[in-house]
Amino acid sequence: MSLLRKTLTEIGLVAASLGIGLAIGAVIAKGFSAPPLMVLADMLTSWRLLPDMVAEYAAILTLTALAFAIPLHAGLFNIGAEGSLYLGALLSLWVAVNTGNLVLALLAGALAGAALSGVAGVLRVALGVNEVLSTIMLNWTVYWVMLYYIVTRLADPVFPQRTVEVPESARIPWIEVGGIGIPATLLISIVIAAAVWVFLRMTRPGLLLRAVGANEEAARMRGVPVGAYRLLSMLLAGLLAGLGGALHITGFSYSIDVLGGTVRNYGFNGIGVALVGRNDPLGVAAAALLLSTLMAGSQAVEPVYGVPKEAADLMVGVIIVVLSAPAALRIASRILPKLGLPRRGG
Amino acid sequence: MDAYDAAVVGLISLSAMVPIALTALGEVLAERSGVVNIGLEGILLITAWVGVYAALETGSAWAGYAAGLAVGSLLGLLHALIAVYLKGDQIIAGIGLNLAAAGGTALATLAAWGNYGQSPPVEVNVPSIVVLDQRISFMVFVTVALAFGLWVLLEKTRIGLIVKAVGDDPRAADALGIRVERVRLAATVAGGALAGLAGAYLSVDYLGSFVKLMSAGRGFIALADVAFSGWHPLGALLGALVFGLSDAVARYYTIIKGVTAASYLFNTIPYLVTLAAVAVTAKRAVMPRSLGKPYVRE
Repeated sequence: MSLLRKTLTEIGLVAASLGIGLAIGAVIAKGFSAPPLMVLADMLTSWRLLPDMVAEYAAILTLTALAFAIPLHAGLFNIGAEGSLYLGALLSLWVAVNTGNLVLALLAGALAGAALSGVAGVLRVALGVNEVLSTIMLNWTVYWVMLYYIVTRLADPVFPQRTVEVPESARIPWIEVGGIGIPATLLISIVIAAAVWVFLRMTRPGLLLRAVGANEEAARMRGVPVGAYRLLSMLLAGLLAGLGGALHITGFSYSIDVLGGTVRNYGFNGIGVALVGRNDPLGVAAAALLLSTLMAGSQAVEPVYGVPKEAADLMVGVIIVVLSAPAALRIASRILPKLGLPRRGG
Repeated sequence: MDAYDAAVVGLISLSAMVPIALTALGEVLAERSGVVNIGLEGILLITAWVGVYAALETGSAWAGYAAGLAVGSLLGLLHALIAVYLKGDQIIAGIGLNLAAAGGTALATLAAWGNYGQSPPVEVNVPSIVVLDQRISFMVFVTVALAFGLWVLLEKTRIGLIVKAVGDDPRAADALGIRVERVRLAATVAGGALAGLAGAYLSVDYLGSFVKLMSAGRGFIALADVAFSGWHPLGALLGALVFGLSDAVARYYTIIKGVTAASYLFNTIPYLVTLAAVAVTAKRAVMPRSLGKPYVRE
């Protein structure tokens, strides 16, 4: 199969899964007695109503998706971006409040995320603990620890429903694009995605990291320290997810609510973004823009049509399930043209 | 904690053991046949919702159990189709199911009961005994019986031999005329059914209502328990009791001793205990040799 053909097949698979996800969205809209096509149209053009939210979601999801994609290149399933993001946001807020310094706040968040992810990495490499299990356990542990600090040390005496806010001096400024204000976090994330692309494709450690994931035994035979590269992948993942939490708190939300809703689900949805972006850093950035449009869209349609924003979570979940079954998608891509539908790739 | 309180914590651990044990037993069976189901968490959450819905519609917790069993089997079937027949990535399919379950149950809660957080309370009308003011459901006894039953099935019967052969060396099993795909399908459906019972137990029996994200990682704790047990039904029962105990200790401090901010920290106990248990036992775990690998006939 030629490279072009392969690329087109990949695009076809992703398009098919997105199509099924959108169909689910239409069914949900129908279930809440809203006009399905208008709901979908509004969801997919949410940047008109909520440009700042689309940009912010895309920024954070790019980082959490990279936190899934990098370990997967080394052969690991990292479900821990969720917890690293919580811890990153928490530490970043604490440092921002106490020092008023943005750089220190970002650094604290990134390092906290890396430390947590590093625990799962060491457990896997040294003791053989499955990283899916360890990262889920760490996510829940950090969730409760975060809530503890939200209602104790960081509680706002005036607004009991949230923490104190990041002081002005430690906030990331917004930028203006075509007269529309968006958080600068998006620019930072795109630069990071490009850097990760260069790292994975053009540097020696990046190539060796991918060699470990492509064929563990072959890499080991050639003397590649497999464990060290797996640990590196987890540290990088935690660093990016932790930074995601830090960027979100210093660039957009400025505080965390007492239920942690401000920071929830970015990690899990990042997995969907990584899969739609086929684990390629630039594909991830594009997929992040697409799925963030969908997620902001679900918030935009909620007040208008009464379709709950959780619709987006269900749609992303279904997209992932569909993407998990390559044989099913290949069958679908063979059948679709026969039904007289436009041929997408393949 | 005095002797009376310790006894109460012991009784709560029996109740807290049930959902983890049932889910883990089903997963022992599925994994022995070679299929991993990371989506157990999603099955628990969906069947907890379905159980309450059925119980509220009919006024009977039995209907909740039946619905949980049925929907759990269906979700097991879905996972089996992806994992066994479509040769899909078992881990990713499970991750997707968990996400879809979190979003789907939130939507369904709003559609059915008009709020995001929880269902109305269910009348818990199943056989149970009361010891020291703690209700012990009949499911505690069913769970223990199922553990011994599964042990007999796996270790003492021909069916058990076939399941293990398929999980260890599907090619050799195929050569002997065993239908690898069908065995894996059946084991995964049975695993889903047991997780469905566990989900229904959580909502219509243990807590008496559906609460958003109420599975709270139990599906993953059950997966950890399977590894901890060395893929052995009785080991899984013992492991579930240990995790149930850590859950009970957390509940003792949060509910019986009154809720304070520090209770949030007690909630971390089951997760840290799970992590520690897996870390200690991971090195010597001997897993089914073809676990998680789709079987493609050459």
